[in-house]
Amino acid sequence: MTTSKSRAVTGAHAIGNRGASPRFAKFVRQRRIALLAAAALAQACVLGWMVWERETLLSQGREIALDVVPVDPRSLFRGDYVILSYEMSRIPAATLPQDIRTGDRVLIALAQRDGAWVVTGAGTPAKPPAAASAPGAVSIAGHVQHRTHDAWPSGNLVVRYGIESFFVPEGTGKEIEGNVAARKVIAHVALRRDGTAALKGLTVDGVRMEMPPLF
Amino acid sequence: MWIARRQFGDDLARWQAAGWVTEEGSRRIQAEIDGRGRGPGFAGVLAILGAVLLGFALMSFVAANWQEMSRLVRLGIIFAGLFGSYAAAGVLFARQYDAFGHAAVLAGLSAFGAGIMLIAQIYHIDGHLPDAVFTWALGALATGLVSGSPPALAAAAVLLGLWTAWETGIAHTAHYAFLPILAALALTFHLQRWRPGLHLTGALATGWVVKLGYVLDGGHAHGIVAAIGLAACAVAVGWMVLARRAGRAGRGEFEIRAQQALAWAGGEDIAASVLGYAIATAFAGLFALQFLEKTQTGVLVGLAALTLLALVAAIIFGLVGGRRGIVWLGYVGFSVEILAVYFKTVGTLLGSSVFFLIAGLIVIALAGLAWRLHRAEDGLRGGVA
Repeated sequence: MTTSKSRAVTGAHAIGNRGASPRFAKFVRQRRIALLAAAALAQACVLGWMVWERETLLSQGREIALDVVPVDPRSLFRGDYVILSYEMSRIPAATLPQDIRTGDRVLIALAQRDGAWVVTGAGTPAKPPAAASAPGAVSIAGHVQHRTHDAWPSGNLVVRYGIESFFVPEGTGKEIEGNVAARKVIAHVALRRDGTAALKGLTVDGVRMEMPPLF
Repeated sequence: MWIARRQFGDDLARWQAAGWVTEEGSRRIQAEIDGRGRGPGFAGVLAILGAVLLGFALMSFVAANWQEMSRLVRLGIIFAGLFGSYAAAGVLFARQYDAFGHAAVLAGLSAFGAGIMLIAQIYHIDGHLPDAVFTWALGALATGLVSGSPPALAAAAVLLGLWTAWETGIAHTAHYAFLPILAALALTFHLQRWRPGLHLTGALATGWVVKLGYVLDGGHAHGIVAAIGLAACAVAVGWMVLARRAGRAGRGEFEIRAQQALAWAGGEDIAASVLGYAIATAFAGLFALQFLEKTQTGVLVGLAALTLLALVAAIIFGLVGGRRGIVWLGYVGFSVEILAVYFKTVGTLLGSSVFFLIAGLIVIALAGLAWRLHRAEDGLRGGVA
């Protein structure tokens, strides 16, 4: 049976082992510091991995340039970032299997026509689009955000690729917002082989805005 | 806490003056009380609040996206904040300034969260935002577990609550992935015997179940919520009765094992807390069924009667068992229910008058019943003594 005393000792574990023998308390404290250091290192590793993954993708991924289309002007600028939308953000539901659901991963094939990257096919990781293997074509991975129509094959699927936000310094978003509305913005996107995309920068009214490599 | 201690000190002096406690006994009781841990204390609370403010400062710094400072320097500040906070926590724990150590751990966790946000910002990552919150929560959970820091575990619970609410809001369906994580969190708090943490998980579980009513069956699944709540009430009451019986059971092997199992599960106190959250869940479901759904008058009357009866039962149960929390929960629910029924059904002032007359009579009858029960309990105690 758990006595109140043993409970008190167990409870004290959370606040530093008051009531335990001094040697045991010292051991627990030393172990806690070591574990705390391990936790700090693990968290730093998570952050470091995030940086490394993006830096590798941006420096080694294949670059494509996509025309940015205006979204509803009222919701275009929110806080400190600009919302970007693309032609490929809306995919006809008929080009994908009927059982596709919100949150599912999709692969969209893109090819250059008259200097612009256009959608040439759509598929899933299990059944990639055949058009993606055509010479010069690429595939970009995204997730289905929602359907515009319940009954398949009507309507479109709204797909997000993780390149829909461009963060800007405080108070500078309005200018880009105006250029997006005037269709003067091109997004430069780096693509990994598996279709993962990262936003490298924007060309706004002919001027390229790009961040230099971190190192 | 200090109010309770002061109140106890005043009571002790009064008992000594009345001759119920000897001077020596009074002195020893006071020494025993003074010797107990005083919880985090004022300084600790202020340190935690300070750490939270530092965390917000870091996050605001990230959100400002200050271009005068290079990305590398901004990242460096986050990493320095992270390692600096944890190093400070280590030093403070080693010197036995535990309250300040916990505050430093919270500051480290804030730096971790700010780091995730900063990296998402500088690389324009527009991913699934709940994933970022989940990563942050896992960091908090791991740190809380290895450092034995209740504030870090509380932060993890809050972040996990935010994560599941966000996921549910986006997908507009039940987020079942939260359940095993919630169970693990509750077990962790239980093993640490940290009651506030258990209450946090209780609140999270209640919120999760209540949300089911708004996302399942096109947002009309409040009946499921009420059913889950009532079933949980039955389980909690059974658990309380078993725990009480086990306490009075004989010394056979089975009884001892049952006592050990119930003691491990937390006994009657934990069951009473579960009952409180179960009542809240059932009431939320019944309330939505009555007042948010298009309900026919007959059904509404039936549901209102069921709700009021259940709340009266909860109040009586709380009074008999000496569970003030359940009594208050029942009173609050009863008041809200009466008010809601009034707004939904009564149109004329005369009708209002009759309604309040009937409700008043019910409550007075309830008070009389409670008084009789109280007297009967006192009589039993007197008989035993």
